[in-house]
Amino acid sequence: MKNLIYIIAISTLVSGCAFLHQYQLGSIDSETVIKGQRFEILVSETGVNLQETADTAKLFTQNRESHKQVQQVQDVISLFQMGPRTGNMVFNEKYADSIMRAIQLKCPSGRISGMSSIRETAKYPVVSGEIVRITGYCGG
Amino acid sequence: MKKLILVALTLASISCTHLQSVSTSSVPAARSKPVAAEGSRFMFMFFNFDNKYVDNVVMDLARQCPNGRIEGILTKYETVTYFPLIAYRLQASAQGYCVAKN
Repeated sequence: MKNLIYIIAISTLVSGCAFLHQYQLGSIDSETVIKGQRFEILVSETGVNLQETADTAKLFTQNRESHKQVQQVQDVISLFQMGPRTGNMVFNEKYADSIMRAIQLKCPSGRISGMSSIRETAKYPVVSGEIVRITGYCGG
Repeated sequence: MKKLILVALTLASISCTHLQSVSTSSVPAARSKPVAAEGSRFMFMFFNFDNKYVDNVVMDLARQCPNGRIEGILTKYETVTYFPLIAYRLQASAQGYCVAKN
């Protein structure tokens, strides 16, 4: 029974939960969507959850003073993380810039319609995959 | 105490809807033929491993307007809480107008 609980717990931790933050559609040309070829572009960057990082660090420190220091560092960093956001912080703010180039490569004809942009997070312990997923249809 | 539990259960079982994102595209002058589609998934205890349920929305809209264009699309993404921590629904919906091609 204990093993089963461990297996379930580890499976849950390893398999990332998916969170959808934003979903947006553009205008649709039905002929292109119905007769065209569907494509998908996915760009992602590793996100870090500072709260969970600090909590994990606390697990490895027995000293009360160290706990306090970790908490202080966490509080100071939190001050710089205010405001609206989706998902966890990433260290490369330009990771989504390559999308336009990727769209051109996926559909050289340029006849694109039914585009949807999805901002999602694949959540794992401490880290996450901060994902931008673009789907669309390419007409011949 | 029983009353308190009853009140708590009643409050917990009332569905709450949270609007996560909303967007629109350019709205056409001809708005006589509205079309709508949605993709949703029931989520048990936050277990959701992909967001593929939104992928068919575009095709569903296109099939409702096979010979035209769909413009003025209002896209919404909502979460519905049926029972906190236990039961949720994730819902992406889109509604727009079928416009004849020029």
